[in-house]
Amino acid sequence: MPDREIIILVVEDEPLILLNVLDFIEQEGMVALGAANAVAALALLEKRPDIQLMFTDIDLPGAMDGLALAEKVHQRWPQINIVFTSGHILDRSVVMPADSFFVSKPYLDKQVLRLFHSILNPAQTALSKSPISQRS
Amino acid sequence: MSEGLNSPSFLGGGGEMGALMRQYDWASSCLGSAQSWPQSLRVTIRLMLNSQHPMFIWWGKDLVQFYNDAYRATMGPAMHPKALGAKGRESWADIWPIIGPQIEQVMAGRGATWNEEQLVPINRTGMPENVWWTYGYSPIDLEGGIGGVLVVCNDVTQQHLYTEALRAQAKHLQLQFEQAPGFIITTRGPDHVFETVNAAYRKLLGERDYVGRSVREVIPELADQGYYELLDRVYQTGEPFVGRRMPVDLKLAPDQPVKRSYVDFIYQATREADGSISGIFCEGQDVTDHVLGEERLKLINGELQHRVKNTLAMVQAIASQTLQQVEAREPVDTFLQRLVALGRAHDTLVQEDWSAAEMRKAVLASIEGLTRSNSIEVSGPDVLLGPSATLALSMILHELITNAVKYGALSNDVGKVRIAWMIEGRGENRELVFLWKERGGPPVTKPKRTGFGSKLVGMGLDGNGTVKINFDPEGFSAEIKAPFEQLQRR
Repeated sequence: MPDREIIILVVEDEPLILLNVLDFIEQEGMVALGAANAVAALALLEKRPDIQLMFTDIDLPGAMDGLALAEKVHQRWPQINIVFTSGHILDRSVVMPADSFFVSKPYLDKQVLRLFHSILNPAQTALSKSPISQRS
Repeated sequence: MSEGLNSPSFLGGGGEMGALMRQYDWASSCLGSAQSWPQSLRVTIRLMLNSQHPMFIWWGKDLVQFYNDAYRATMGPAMHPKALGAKGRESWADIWPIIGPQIEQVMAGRGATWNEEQLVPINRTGMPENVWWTYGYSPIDLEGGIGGVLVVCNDVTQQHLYTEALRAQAKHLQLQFEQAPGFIITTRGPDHVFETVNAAYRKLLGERDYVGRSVREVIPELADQGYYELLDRVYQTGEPFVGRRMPVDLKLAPDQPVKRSYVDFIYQATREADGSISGIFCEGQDVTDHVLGEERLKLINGELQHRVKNTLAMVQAIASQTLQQVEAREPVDTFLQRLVALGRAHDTLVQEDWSAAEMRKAVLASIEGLTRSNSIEVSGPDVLLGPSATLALSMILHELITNAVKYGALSNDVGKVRIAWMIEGRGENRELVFLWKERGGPPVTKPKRTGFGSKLVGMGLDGNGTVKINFDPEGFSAEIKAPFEQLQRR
């Protein structure tokens, strides 16, 4: 697999958390873009179609929450991988797009990064069992 | 002068009153000797004296009085025997306003009277008492006119009081039914025609014309909500139906929008004496407030839990950023991991609405996702833990697991961990015993100093429990005991 820039979009309305996530992604040598709501996220995606992964909070302010945003992204840019996070426990009524992932808040930087790598380079990183679990 | 043995035959018999009549000095009265009395009076007196019905006669313009033994039984010493041969207006002065006009009516030739269950107070014993009478005044003819009045009467006081009591009881029951806090209705027949409806039901469905109309007519908005079909089924099968928190959409008035309510209720078939189904009895409660309250509470609880975990995530972010320059990464990582463990303990509690968590669930949540979770054996009875014990257990398990992964049985490929708990003792002295036992890890050495992790474990499940730590070279083990009742507190 040729080396290329990994670009990750982080959608999080809590500035402190957003700052920290952007920071640990950049420290990992990837490009991190931040958005505080779904509208801002869509605007960014229009400009940067080379984004490979979107890490979004489910609970977002405004008319569109993380699930609605993901549905739009999935239709328009099906190649973008989606990872959700939330402080809520997910009940069965929450339906996430196929092939998406979920990380419960609070999470460890390392765990999130390991998940990103396993999604983007499945051959190199064996998807180890961790508190991060795949849902579909 | 008494009639004595020579009294006329029409005064024969008649018990006490017959005797009194015969002894009476009629010759000195305004009526003159009994021998001289007109035929119609004689016939009536004979009839009266020989009847077991209470009877009474007023005769002539002075309304001179005669009565029989049965009537005498209704009179006290204040009346009897002086009423015999006395004048009516004087004898009955106290109730003349009631009976006077009726007697005048009969005497004037305007026909007989009939009264049922009429209250006519009388004075049997010197004290006035309420007596209910069914009685009639009939004319006694005399030479083309009216000579007197025959009274045939019946003391119906017992019957009257009994009927009154029944009526009062029925009214009381009706009132209880009407004022019952729950709704109650009864319907008749296969079309479910309303028979009775109480206030609570009218409050739920609004004022409508219920009685005598079918459920489908009265509550058309119930179509497609399944209730007609439920009623039909109960009527057909006779099997009762119990509904819990069932939604129902009703219109309080035809021009009002539909309003959603929730009800607990029972439909039960009512039966005729021969066992056939006659209708349906329905009783229930409007539980809308409870259901909405619970939904709100759930929402608030969910929001709160989200806030708690979001705050933990913020602390996580602040710590990550603040501690970036710290060279020693291990304590930083340990701290961040403990925050994650705390967040997960919250999840377990939230899933149980913060009341009590199943111990097994809390243990499994702590080991879920571990690379070597299948090297951990978990066993123990079903035990419910209160919120603080659940948090303590989750944090202790986090420390034990972290330690095992770093240095103990989970640090190699062959080690095993056994987690077990049991209840010892009885009654108030019951204790929960929690065991953690490692085998197959690298040889164990006692650490030189006690860290926060060991202190956390040392506090036990109730904050001051008995904890035994054993650094057996074969494997680390811990035994934690705590009073059982204590662990279920909030």
